[in-house]
Amino acid sequence: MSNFSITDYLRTRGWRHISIILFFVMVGAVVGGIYVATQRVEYVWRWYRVPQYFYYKDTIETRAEIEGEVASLVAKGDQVEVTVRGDGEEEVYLVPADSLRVDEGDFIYPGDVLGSYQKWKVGILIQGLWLTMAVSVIGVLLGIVIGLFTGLARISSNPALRWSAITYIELIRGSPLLVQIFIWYFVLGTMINAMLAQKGFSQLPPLWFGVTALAVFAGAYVAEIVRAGIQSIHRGQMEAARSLGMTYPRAMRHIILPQAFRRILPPLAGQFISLIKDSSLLGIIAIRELTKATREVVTTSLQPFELWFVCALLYLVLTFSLSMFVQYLERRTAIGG
Amino acid sequence: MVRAENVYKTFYTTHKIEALVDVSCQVDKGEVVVIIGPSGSGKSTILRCLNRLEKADSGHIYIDGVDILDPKTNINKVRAELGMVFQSFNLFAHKTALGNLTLAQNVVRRRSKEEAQEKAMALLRKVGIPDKADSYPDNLSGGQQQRVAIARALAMDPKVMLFDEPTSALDPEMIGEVLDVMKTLAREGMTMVVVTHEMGFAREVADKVIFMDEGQIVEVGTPEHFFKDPTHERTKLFLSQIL
Repeated sequence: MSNFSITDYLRTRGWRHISIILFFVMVGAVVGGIYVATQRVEYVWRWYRVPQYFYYKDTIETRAEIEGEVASLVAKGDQVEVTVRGDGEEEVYLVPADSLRVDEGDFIYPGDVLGSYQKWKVGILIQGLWLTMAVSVIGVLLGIVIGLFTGLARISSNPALRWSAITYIELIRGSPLLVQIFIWYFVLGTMINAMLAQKGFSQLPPLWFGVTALAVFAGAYVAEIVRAGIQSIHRGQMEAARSLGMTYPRAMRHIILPQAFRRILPPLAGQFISLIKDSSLLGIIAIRELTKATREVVTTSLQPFELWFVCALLYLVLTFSLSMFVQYLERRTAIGG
Repeated sequence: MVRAENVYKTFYTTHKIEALVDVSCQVDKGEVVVIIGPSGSGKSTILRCLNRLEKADSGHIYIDGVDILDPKTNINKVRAELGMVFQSFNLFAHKTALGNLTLAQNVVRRRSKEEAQEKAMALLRKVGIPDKADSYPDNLSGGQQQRVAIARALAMDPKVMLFDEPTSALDPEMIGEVLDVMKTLAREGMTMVVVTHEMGFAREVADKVIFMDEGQIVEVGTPEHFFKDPTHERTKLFLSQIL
């Protein structure tokens, strides 16, 4: 103990401790700096306004639909059954007893409030988050299907298949997703909807074109992932399968793809995470996913700082939990495990 | 059983390689034919041409009377009758030893799961590793992997077995166990074509030895003829280098 000195401490564990402390000091400095800066521009933080965009209590009013007299009020537990009798017609409404606004014998008109109750509803941010998840999942699932077939076509010996696949992949990877979304909605969407209208069908909503754009976009990247995965499997595996009399499709299905799948899982997950983030572009064609929802909330609440941070955090929750899940899957599907 | 007539094969990689030049040979039922020769002599190529893993450029290859170079031939049917054992084992890495043996039985031979498993276990016993049925290839030694690979080929009840340098990738102490399995097969009357550097195996088991060099068959004969009194200079030179 007597010869313990500060230099010994620094040489052993000291620098590590100091580095850790430094990290938190830096994080604190950035957060503090942002806070101070917002004070300078007199921004008022109102975090308490944020939760209502996740969940809020909505008041739902029960209104009369006909004109007439309140014929009877019958208590049923903490509810009251209100019977309205009018000109040859009768309607029965159930309202909570403590919100009852009418008496027996009152004459009421259509639209009059009989009572009201409150209900928890999901806010716009949760709705947006849900839509973001939905379009990403559907987009990536369709993308995997497209990518699987394109990837197989990409390594096919048939030039028609191979060149089609290459053309598709290069076109999609060579242009911005934003432009592709515009083309899907404003060009192809207009064409398709015009043709549907001519045939007397109803129009397709923007969501369809948005999801298609994402799926077709993801498909091109998945195709390259699938191709690389298949080509990473030693060709002896295919030769062994073929030498046992399996056809090429059977060998692919039973031997090559199951092995390739394990290798492509991590890059596939990366693609999925990218797609979740890319789906934020769908807001521009009136799809109210998380980013668009946040933009709408910002315009009504005028609390952009809190809400954009919350928006980023929600994306982070999605992407982070996904990468955790994939790590778990990788461990579970390890060969021999 | 197996007959090759005037087979040619040329590879075009960085430069032109004439891998097979006018190769003709024949393997009768129950015969064990060993193909030897220096590396690059075309011995693996001719073997791979026999089940069309390499497609010969010209000539004819008959397996049990069927010309496999005829475009109308269903090659998958022919291959199911030809067991192939590779230098690098090529076991299916995502399947257990048992799974390696049952898969093609199910998919190609359409055998029931029970029948395929019974057959697989019998073969694993035959090659001496029934206790490894549930092991994955990564957890098996090279010798064990190659024995599973032989059993996998046998599970299809092939008429001919093709061996492409089955012991070349093995550690020396494991060569014996694989050769023992092959000797047993030969004794049981299996028709075999073996590309190998194991001269002891050739001497002991082969009915016929083929010596290849530079894409051509130089000499064909019995092991006695080969190891005691080879005719050609090239054969003599090769044997003097290897023995």
